[in-house]
Amino acid sequence: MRNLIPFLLTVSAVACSTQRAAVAPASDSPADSHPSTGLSFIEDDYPRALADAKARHVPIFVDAWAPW
Amino acid sequence: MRANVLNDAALMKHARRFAWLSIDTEKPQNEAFISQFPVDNWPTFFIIDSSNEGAVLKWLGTANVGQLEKLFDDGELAVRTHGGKSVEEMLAIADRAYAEGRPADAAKLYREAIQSAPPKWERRPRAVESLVVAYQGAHQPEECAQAALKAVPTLPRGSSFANAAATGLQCALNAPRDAPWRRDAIAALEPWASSALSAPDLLADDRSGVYDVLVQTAESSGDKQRAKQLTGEWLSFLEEEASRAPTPEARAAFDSHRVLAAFKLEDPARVISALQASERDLPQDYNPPARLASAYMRLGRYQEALAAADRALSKAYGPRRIGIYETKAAINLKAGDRSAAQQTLVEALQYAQALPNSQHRDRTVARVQKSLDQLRGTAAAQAR
Repeated sequence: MRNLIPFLLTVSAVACSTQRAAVAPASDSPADSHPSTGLSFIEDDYPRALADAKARHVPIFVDAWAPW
Repeated sequence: MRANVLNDAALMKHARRFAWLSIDTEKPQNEAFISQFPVDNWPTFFIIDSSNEGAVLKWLGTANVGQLEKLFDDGELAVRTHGGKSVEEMLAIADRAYAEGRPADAAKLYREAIQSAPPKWERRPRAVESLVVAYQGAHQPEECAQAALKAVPTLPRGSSFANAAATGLQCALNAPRDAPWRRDAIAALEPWASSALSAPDLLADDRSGVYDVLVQTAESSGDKQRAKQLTGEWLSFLEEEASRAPTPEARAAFDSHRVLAAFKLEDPARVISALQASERDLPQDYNPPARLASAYMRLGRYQEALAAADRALSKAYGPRRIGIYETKAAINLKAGDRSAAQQTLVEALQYAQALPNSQHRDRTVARVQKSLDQLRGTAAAQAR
């Protein structure tokens, strides 16, 4: 099944998601590539992504994730 | 996804089609975004119309490169579509309803699109998958299971087939045990979900998710031998996949389900070395020590468990930090230190009270407070 991870934070909730890798260290660069060769994502800055999208007249693709 | 799919060079040709945003839902700085676009499953992908900040597509869970490319197309179409009678437009309108948080409306619209579509409609597998997920989101388990049961046999063996079968089965499992349709639906869907294990082009994450729901099915029926056999297969599969992972990040992405399977097998020792390797290779990540704390606790190695919990707490942030406090309090209790457990929960409560409400502050505070009250009540009773 699609690996759906409901919001559960219990004592035994150690298994959360197989689809997320580790938290990337904070970066000072304006946009971080997902590891290695991938697309260049703006990290945790919706206003900036929105401004970028408006300027280019494109939609925003959002990867909402958690470091589990 | 970050380690295995979103970094795929094959996606680079789509770079100009969107502004690409990554949101860590645990970070307080993202509260405004989460308030505007609620997230209850991870990962969740959104496509947002930048002209009006409306979500036009919302996709829960993993997707492979091919699925993502179709979502890009569907999201762009949904931005342009505000009505229409073509089946693609009907799908886009359903996607928008789901993205706007109206899963019951979306299910109705997905069903209408599927019924209107020609038999060989290319988007049919994805539309069926979205229909089943929408019913699940609308808390309509019977409709979810029945929609899966009706459509899954007709789908080509692939990701949507597997996801629809497993999601339908999950809906049946989660239904009240006395629901009259539940038993038959589980019996009918279980073979389809089992066959999904051998579906081609399935992400390892998805295959792991299928194993998870099949193990739950065996547990629900009381078949302990079947549950143990399946869990053993599941863990071996995950270990094999992890051994082939090209990077530490990709390998560690299997840790959470390896832990889940190992704990179900009552063999926590089997994941210790993998978690130690993840902690060594990914020193910024709080997850490996958090998982080690739970594994050591189950092994009765309480000092190592407490040390691992403290290492995790030194790095953790957001709601996940509460879970680590709760694990630490459980270790305190098992180690016989009730006072330390209380102090740990007090710290958890203070941290929870400072969370933004979009991070489920109120229910988290209530849960921690309840645990603390129970602990204090037990202590008071023992003192008398």
